[in-house]
Amino acid sequence: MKAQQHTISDNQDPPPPANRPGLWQSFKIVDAPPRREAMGFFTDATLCIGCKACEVACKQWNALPADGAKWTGQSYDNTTQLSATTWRHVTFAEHALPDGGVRWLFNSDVCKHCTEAPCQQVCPTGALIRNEFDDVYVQQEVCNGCGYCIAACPFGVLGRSEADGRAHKCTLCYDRQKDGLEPACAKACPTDSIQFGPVEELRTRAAQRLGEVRTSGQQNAYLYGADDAGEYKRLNAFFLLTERPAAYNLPEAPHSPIASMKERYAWSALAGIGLSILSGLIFARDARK
Amino acid sequence: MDLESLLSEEYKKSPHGSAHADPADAYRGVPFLKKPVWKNEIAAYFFLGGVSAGSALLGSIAELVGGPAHRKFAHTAHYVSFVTFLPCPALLIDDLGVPSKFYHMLRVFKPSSPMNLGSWAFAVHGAGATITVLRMLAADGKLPLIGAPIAMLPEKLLAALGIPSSLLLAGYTGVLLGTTSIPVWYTSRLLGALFTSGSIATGAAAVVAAAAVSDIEDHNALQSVATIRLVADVATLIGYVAYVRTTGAASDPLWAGERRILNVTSLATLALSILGGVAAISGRASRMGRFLGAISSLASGALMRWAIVRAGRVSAEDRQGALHAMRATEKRPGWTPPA
Repeated sequence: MKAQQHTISDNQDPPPPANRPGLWQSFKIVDAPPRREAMGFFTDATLCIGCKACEVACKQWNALPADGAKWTGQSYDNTTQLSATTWRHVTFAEHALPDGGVRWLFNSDVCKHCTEAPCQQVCPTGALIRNEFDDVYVQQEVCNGCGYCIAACPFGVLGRSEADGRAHKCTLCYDRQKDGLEPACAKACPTDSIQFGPVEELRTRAAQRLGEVRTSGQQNAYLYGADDAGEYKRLNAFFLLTERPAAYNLPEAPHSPIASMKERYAWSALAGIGLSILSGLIFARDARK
Repeated sequence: MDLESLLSEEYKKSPHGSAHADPADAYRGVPFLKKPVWKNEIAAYFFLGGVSAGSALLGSIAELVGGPAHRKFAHTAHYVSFVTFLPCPALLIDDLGVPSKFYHMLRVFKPSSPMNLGSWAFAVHGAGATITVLRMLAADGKLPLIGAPIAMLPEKLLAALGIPSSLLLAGYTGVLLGTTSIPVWYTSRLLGALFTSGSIATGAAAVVAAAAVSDIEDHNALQSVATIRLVADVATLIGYVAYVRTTGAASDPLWAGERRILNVTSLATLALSILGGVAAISGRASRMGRFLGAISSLASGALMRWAIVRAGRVSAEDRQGALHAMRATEKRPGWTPPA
C-alpha cells in the first residue's frame, strides 16, 4: 500500500503531543522512512527454562498492565495466551511420561510478524503497516478498533483492549529498534532462547542450531515458520520446536485468509450479476402492461 | 485467608491435572484463535445493509429496463433503500472500539481489505440513495428552494451509476467474514454469494411489505416482483445449503445451542416465503398473503445473519475444530516435526 503513515519519529524530531489528532492529520500521508534490513526473532524452545523474564521485561518496557493474579490450572501459566496486554507468553505444557515422570515443554510465544500478515492485509484503516524493519506494527493513533485483525490472525495474537478500544500486539520494540537496541524480551532472556537480529542471519543460525539439536538426539526438532509452507509464507519471528505445534498451542498449517478472497468475490459476483440479469429480464417481460 | 476461593473454576475442574500423555493435549482447554469482537449490531447491519443494497439494486434495474409499468415500484424501492440505510452508520460506529475514529475507514483505499472496500461501497451507496430520494422528492415538487437543480439530474444515469456499489454492498459482508481465520466462516467460499442472494431476496421482500402496508401498492408490478422474489428466495436456499455443505465439519457451530433455533427458524420462514411466492405468482395471494410472505423472507434473512455471526464466536473457541481446520495437508504442508 502506498498509503502509510509513520508518526513515531526519530529522537531528533520528537512527535508533537498527539492525544487527539484532528481530522486532517488522520488523512495526511507522511513519507515512509527508508527501508532497513528485515529484523526478527528466533525463539529456540529447547533453551527456554520458563522463567518468564521475557513476559516481565515486555510488560515493563511497553508499560502493559497486569492481567490479574489467578490460578488457571494450566501448570505455572497464568496468562495462558497472547492478548492486548500480553505480547510475550511462555507456554507451559506438562508431558506425562510413561515412567510416571513429568516433563515440561516451554516456549516463549510472540507475534509471528508474518511476511504476508493477514492482520495487515485486512486492516481497513491502514493502521497496521509493515515498518522499515519489515515488522508488523499497529499505529495506535490510526486504529479505530474495528476488530478485523483479531478475526484474521490465525495465531490469535491480537486482542482489543477494554481500556482504549484499540487492537494491540507486539511491536517488536519498534521504539528500541529505532535507537539500535534489541527488544526488551531478547535483552532479558537469560539463556538466549530468544534471539533478535537480521532475519536472514537468524535463519542461518537456526538451521545450524537445528543440526546440533538433532545430532544431540532430539530427532523430532524442526523449525516452525522459518520457510514458506504452501500458501502461508514464512514468519519473521520463527521457532525451534520439538513437539507437534499443538503442544505449544500453535496451528500446524494456517490458511492465508486473503488467498481465497478473489474466489469469494467471484462467487458473490456470479450470484449478484446472475440475479440482476434475471430480474432485468423479468422486468422487461412485464414492461408493457 | 481462604485459599480455596482463590482457585479459578478451571483449576477446580482439574487439580494437578495439566500433565497429559500427549503433549498436544496440554492446552486443550485454551483456544488458540481469538473470539471475534463483532456483536449483534454487526448482524443487524449485515441484514439492514443487505436490504438497502438489494432494494436499491432492484429499483435501479426496474428504472433502466422496466418501463413505465414499474415506475412506481422503482420509486418505492428507492425510498425503502434510503430508510433501511439510515440506521446502518450508527450500528457500524457503535461496534467500533474507538467510535470517534469511524472516519478512518475511508482514510485509505485498500482493496486487499474487504472491510475497506465495503466501507467505500457503503459510502457511495449511502450518497446515491440520498441523492436518488432527493431527486424523487424534487421531481414531485416536494423540495422547495433547492428542488429545481436536483430534479434535473438524469434518473436513468443515477440508477446505472448506483448498481455497482449496491452489488458490492450486497455481498462484501460475506466475503469479509470469509476472509478471516474463523473456520465456520473461512472454510466455504460461498458466504458472499449467500449474502448477495439473501440481500436481493430481502430487498425485494421489503419493497413488497412496504407497498402492501401503504396505499402505494403497484398492481402493474405485482407479477414481476413476485417472480423475482421467488427466484431470489430459491437462490438463497440453494446458497444456504451449498454454504453449509462446503463448510463440512466446521459448520457444527451453526447447529448447536441457540444457533440451532435461529437456523431452523430461518429455514422454516424461508420455506414459508417460497410458498407465499408460488401463491403470489399464480395470482392467488391476497394483499395480506403477499405481506406475510414478504415478512417471512425478511425474518429468514435476519435470523440467518444473526446465526452466522454468532457461530463465528463459537467456532473460534472450538480448539479441536480449529486445529483440524488448519491441519497439515499435502497442499498446505505447514510446519510439523519430521515424520
